[in-house]
Amino acid sequence: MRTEHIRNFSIIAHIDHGKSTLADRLMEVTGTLTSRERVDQFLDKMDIERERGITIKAQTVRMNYRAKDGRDYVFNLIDTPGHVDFSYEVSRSISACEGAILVVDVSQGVEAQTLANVYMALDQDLEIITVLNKIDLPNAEPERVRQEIEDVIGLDTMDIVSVSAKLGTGVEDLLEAVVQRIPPPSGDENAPAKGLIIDSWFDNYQGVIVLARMFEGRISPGQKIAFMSTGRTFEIQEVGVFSPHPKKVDSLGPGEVGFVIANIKNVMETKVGDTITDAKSPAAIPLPGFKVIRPMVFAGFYPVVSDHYAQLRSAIEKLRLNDSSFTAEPETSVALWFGFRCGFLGLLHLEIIQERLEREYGVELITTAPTVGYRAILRDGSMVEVDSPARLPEPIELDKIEEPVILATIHLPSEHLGGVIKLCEERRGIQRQMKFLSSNRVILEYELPLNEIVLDFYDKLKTASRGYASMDYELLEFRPANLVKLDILINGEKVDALSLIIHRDHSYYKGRDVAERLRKLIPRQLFEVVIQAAIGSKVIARETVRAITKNVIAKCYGGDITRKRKLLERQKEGKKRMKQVGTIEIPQEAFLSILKVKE
Amino acid sequence: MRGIYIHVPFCVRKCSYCDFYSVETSSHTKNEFPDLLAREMDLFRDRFPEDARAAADTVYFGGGTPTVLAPEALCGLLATIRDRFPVAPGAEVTAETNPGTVSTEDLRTLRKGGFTRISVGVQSFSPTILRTLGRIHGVEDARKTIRDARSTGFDSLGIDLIFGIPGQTCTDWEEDLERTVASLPDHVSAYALAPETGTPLHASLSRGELKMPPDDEVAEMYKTARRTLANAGYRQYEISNFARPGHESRHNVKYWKRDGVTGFGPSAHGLLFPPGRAPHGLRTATPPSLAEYRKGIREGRLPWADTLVCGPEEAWKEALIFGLRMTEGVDLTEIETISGSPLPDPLREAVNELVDGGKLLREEGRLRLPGELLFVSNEVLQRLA
Repeated sequence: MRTEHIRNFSIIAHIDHGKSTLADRLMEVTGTLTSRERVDQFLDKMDIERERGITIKAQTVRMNYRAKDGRDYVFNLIDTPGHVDFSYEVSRSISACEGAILVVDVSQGVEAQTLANVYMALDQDLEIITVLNKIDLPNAEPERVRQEIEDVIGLDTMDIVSVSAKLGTGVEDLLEAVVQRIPPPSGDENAPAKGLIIDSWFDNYQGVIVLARMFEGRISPGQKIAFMSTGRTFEIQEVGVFSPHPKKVDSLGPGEVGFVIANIKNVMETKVGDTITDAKSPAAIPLPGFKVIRPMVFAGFYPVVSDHYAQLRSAIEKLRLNDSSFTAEPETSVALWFGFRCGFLGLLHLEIIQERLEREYGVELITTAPTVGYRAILRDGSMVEVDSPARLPEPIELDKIEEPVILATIHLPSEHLGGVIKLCEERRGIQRQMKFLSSNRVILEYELPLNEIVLDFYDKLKTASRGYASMDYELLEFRPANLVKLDILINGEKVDALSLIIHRDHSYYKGRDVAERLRKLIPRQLFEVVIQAAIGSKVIARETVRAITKNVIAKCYGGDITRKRKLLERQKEGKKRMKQVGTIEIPQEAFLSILKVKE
Repeated sequence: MRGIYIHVPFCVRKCSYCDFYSVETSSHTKNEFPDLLAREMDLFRDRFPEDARAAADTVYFGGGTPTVLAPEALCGLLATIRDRFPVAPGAEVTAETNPGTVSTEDLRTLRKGGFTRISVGVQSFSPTILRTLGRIHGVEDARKTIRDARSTGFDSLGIDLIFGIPGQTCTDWEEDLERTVASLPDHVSAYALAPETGTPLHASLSRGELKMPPDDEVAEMYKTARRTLANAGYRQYEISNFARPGHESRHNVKYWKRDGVTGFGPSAHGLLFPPGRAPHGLRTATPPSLAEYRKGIREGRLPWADTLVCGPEEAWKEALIFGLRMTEGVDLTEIETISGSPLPDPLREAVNELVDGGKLLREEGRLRLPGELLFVSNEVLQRLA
């Protein structure tokens, strides 16, 4: 296939702005999907994706389009994940495209979440086609939104395309704009092969399926390929495209997007952003931008019922087959017994995994408070990685603790500058740069400790900017900080799963807050429960949950036997989601609640 | 031996807290009722001949207010029972009554007609609290009924009390207990008020017109009751029941020990052991509706809405959950012998865990709840549910 007839693009849109509907419509108009097989929002396959309105895995669809110039074109729509936790994956998907369609809901206007991806696309010199969607809505405000696009994003709106993805209005114009405005890919099909791994997943029958975009050269079944970051080689069994159903093809050449199956057993081998090349005559240099992704946030996953450990282990193994950024190692806790210490890209990633374990695999979980990974430098000069507060060495051995610091890049309208700066300063941020892109648009760069942003920073940032700030971040370095371990004792026993590493300046306030929070969450039980917060051996807060004094069926004769038994069964059921720690029952929320920031 | 329960679903007026089935009704319905009961007993005897042939050593008329029916009618019903079922000599025959619904003469008639035990719904000796509860009687009515029951020669006199009532203080309750003890009953039931959904009291509470006393205060009242009654010679034999030795309600004990009881009348429940059919018991329930009850009987069928055949596990759970309500607790070997099946493993584990945690006491082959956990017994019993 000649590269001049290929167009590779992604769609950038805020949740609910109609990305999936538009994608469905494109597939329908190009005849890729018949309306009979059209399931709404074909791209978002997982339940969780549909419910949260976000895409977690990248996906592609190949469409054939005969343009008004009479020629046949191949469109590859590359759908990207949509959250800051996955910004590296997004950057790789975007680098597989020459263009992007920015969809803005004309009844709502520009939303912050789209901005990070638009800037990423602009950084990589993608051609952006701006689309105003939902023009059929009575409350559409095309003029206001147009102005907003110019002011907030700084995009020229001269050749904007107006569509109603729902009704199909304007979709033809959009397809033509793709042909005319998005540049075709370039690349030499005789050069050594270079393909970009956009994503990969595990299939029970075929092993790992790699989604890739070819830049140079050509790959076909029987060929030996190598992944440049690892040097590992595999023989291709099958290549193909998604249209949207998988379809075998003879080969994939420059500009083409498709799948590669090569008898690969583990997604750890196929890292997003890595370069696929020919094993015999490899490319000299890999494609730019590859990074080894390491988990940033850690939490313990424990089965509510200890007997379900094996079930949890098998569910985690299955999920890891598909997600190389999710790590898990067996861990034991004094309080919670056997579980796993798991690593994630961010909090959303954690929530998704947690939800999938509970929903798809039916494992009831206790999740401990998420923490970032620290480094403990010991007095003997050695270093220990600490991904769980319980693993922090004793103060006597400890020289210092280093915490991960990130560089956050925040785009925002200048009117919200005050609020956003205040937020960053509160979170121990150090300003590195402030750059005015125009009179009303600013880029702020802040160095921030990761543990200050991991939990709720993104929400707070949105509040402080009425939704208009967008953020992207990368890990900068580990830096020494004045951190301490806050322990929680229940009836005198340290509950390791409730420990927390925090900055010393916040520790007293936090200790009191956590103790109070636990008092409210732990229900009254047969014995008095004493909750203490301590740093080292020093108790800094104490709360008590008084013993329960009344829980009785006072009147119980023949008429009620069955009903009363049901009442007790319900009470028993209500306690199932509590974890027995010693003689005390602690509700699941308690383990997560300790990180909540006081309202 | 088995017991027989008759539910009389009539009241002069419904009390604000009550969710038992009873209606304020016409004399026609009341007149018709004994005949319906007689026909129900016939139907029962036809269908469960073996159960019908087993001797009963307790008969209990509950309600509602049984004494809303004329004493002659109640005595007639007792005769109807004796005609159809063997009632053992010396059987305990109880009628519940409420002050203001019986005269001295009525009580005399009941006593002569074979009733041996009377249970008086006094509830409180405070006029304000009687009003909150929506009772029809005054304090003096209660005193009179108690005096009359004594003078007409009942073997056993019981008083029912309620505590933990909106507006009630610990002092109010102490006074109630003192007056109760001073009236020299043989038996005292003291119930913590439980607002049931659908009752006017529950509605007043949700509207915020009334407020329940705090749990800690109610628990204090319970402690006071246990102490005061014990000091006056009443032995606590169940969570809410106290009696002078030998005056425990034999009928009610059957419910906690899972002995057979046949129930007649709307909303009555029963536990049968029809030979060969349900070795672990068959629970029967008649719907709380006079209309459905009447319809069933007129169509010639037992008016039961639900029957439930208990399996060995259910039987064990019930035996433990309800048996442990009694201060004497349960004897596992005895239950095993009676039920013919061993304690299921999960329950055995739960029991052992509770014993290890000090929440159940194991003494001489018996299991029982520690006294200080009686008022939080749900926390323990739910593990066995």
